[in-house]
Amino acid sequence: MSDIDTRLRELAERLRADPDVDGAEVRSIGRRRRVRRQIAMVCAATVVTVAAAFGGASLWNSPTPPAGPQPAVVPVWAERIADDPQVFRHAPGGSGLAGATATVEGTLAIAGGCLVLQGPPAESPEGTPRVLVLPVGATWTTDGGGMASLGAEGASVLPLGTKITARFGISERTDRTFSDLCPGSAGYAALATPDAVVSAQPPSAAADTTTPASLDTIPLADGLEGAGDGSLDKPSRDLVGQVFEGLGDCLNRGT
Amino acid sequence: MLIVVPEGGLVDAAEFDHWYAAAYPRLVAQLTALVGDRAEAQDCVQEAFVRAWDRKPTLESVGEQDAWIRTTAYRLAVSRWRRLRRGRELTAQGLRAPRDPLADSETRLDLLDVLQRLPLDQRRVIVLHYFADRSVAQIAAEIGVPEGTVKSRLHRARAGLAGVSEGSLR
Repeated sequence: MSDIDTRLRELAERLRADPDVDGAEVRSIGRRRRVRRQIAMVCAATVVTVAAAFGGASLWNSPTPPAGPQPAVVPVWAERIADDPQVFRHAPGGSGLAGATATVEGTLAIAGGCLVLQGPPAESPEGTPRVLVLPVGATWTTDGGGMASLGAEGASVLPLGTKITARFGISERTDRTFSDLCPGSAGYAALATPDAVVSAQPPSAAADTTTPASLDTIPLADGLEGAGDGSLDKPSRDLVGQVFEGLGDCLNRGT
Repeated sequence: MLIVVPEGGLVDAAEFDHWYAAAYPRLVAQLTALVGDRAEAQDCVQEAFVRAWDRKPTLESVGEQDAWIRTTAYRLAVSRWRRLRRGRELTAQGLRAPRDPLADSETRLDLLDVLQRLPLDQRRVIVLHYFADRSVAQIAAEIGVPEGTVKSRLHRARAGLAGVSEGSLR
């Protein structure tokens, strides 16, 4: 073992530090957060799901507000969504979004703790996986034909290893945000609308050795809140009101 | 096709407490080496453990619990650094502005300072290899790059560290 090896291992010992609080206190903090999140999700996850099914998914992929009349009054439920940081993770806009849409074929996977779309081999070893940007609370199902849709009720779960072909807005290396936060990824693939999914083929039982992952438990967005140029902030109440305008009746009917 | 991740999980309170007490010191050491600031590392590692307990299903699905904490704490540190960067001018090389060795009043440099001068990707593989005792294959899986890339980064990092006169290290 060389001198530098020895010094590095000595440094590893020297930098150890005992915790300031015990495990019980850590668990207590986590438990309180879970309760708060569950309450918030009950209020808002249904709204997000229905809105996504009607095209509201473009919200997190659009750096500019959609055209159309401004609502005079923002609905109460829109305010509730905008105020809940657990519901929306606003994908980066501005310089972070190339704007081009391409059909991408990839397999759902987790790399570096991030949900990614793993594409076919590319020239660059880092050019293949892309972070898949989805809203927390989104639900996916696949029907018998292999099609996938956002918005169905049920478990917010999709199996890893699912082969997805979809039209995604692709961000290449306009910044390093996602590459740094999700090592090995190159940019991100943001789902624009539910119709963007061309097909989704679940993994075969024999080939599926991965553990299914719940979208709202994948730590995709943990490090993304303050990333990039500041465009990752939650959407404004006005923007939520614009995008979801007209869906209030649907929500009231519970559809 | 719907597959439900069971709630409740496999980790009970006693197991979590035991794991936390055992893993916290070594994970703080690893993150300190990565970000160059022990207080920052302690904050981020503790927050990662809070999230681990808060999101037990994720933790179990990932399998390698230390790796989950390490990745989450690292992201938290990066996120904090990016927020700080908006207000201050900091170097993009690390989470803490490294001191210029030539401007340092002391002639003997701390190895932790030297580590901070390495590019972040090289520093990360050094930490995983020497601090977390991860193999090349395990590092490749954890950070999502080919094994060859890990080897080359390790080689360059070691060369960079060796480039500093060992006599100047304390």
